[in-house]
Amino acid sequence: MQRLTFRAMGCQMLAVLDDTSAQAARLLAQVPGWFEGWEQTLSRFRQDSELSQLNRNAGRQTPVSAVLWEVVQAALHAARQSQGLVVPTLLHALEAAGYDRSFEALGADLSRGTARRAPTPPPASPPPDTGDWRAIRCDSCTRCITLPAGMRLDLGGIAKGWAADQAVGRLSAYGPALVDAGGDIAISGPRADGQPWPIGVASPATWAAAPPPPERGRKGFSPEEPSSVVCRLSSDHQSLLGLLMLPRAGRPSSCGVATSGRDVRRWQRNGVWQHHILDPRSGQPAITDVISATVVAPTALEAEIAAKVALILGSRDGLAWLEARPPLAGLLVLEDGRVIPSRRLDDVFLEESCDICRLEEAECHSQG
Amino acid sequence: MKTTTKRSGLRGVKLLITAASIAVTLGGWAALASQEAAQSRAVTAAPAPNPAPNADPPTSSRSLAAPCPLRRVTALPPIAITRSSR
Repeated sequence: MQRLTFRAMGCQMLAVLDDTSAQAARLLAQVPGWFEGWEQTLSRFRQDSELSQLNRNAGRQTPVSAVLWEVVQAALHAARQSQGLVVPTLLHALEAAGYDRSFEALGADLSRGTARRAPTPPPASPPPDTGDWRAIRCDSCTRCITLPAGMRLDLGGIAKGWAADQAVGRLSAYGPALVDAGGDIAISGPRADGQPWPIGVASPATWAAAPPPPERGRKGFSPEEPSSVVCRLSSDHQSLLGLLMLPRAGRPSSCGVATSGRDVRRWQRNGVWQHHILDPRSGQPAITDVISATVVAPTALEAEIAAKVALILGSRDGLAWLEARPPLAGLLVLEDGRVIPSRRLDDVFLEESCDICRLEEAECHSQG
Repeated sequence: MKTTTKRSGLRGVKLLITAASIAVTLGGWAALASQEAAQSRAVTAAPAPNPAPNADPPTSSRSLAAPCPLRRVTALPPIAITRSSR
């Protein structure tokens, strides 16, 4: 098994090829170059990226490369699949919330949620413009995209999920492969020995310090519904929640897993905590009782979309949304420390020992 | 006299059968116990994949972990970790 780690798209990346040949090593060495090319096309933080050019051309028909075309189509697919909860048109709203530079540029203290200053002056404007993704025009014959005047796209998580799927597809020609694009993980199939890949599910990084969100509009599990709770985290929990064994037994095919969370990439603005997952219905950081959502899906892209939907909807509606879609299985961590799996997660999820969870035995509950 | 000899012989046979039964039972228990111990050793000695370079380092709590009463315990190190983007 050969591995390569590198940074791209503002995240830590990992590429693994379960093959020991020199040819496999040469292919693995090309992966950072693939990601650099995709980032140069898809980054909103690079002024000379193709995406930035498309955003500047809003209101005019713009011919685009195959990569940008494909990722914009993936983003529009996400918008349709999520009934408008995961859309690519939130760049104005993200900047209004203070996320106007990459987190690497903003500094690590912001990503840890310890910053005490707002990244930009507070807005003195009406609610942020979330754009209407249905107004984007795509001409497949000429491969041209027309954004409505004033609209700007952010392909963020969609680009990472897409890139993980693309990279694993290329690597799988030489052997079983896994690509982890900042937590969005694509898997080509079982390992060379036929066994599944053990994928750790990290507990939310700073959930203990996370502020309680406003009460209005929140929908979640009440304390009277403990039957589906796996376990409850303690406040100093910094380890893994458990392992996902992927792909599932009897399904020797590719799959993906992704986690969406408000435990990192958050900051304070005028004393109010902000995070990077916006609810398109309000244009504001999502108000939800879910700290992080992990989803297993047929691809990393689909897992990314579903994890974001589950987080935005909150625990009750998010879990129902996952349960209604048979290819999906998920695990939600709530702000009160409860960890709630969907029904279909059972055959792939191995919970870590209680000691690792730092749990008292009395706090451990079986799934209902 | 004959009756007494017969009774003594019968008692001896009964004692022999009882002793044999106890020996078989104890032997069976011992065999089962050693089999369970072997299975337990096999589980803890199961080969695990190499940890990824970016995986969390093993902690002392991991090796000393007590099993959760209602769930399986695993010592497999993850090859990758899914988490919120950072």
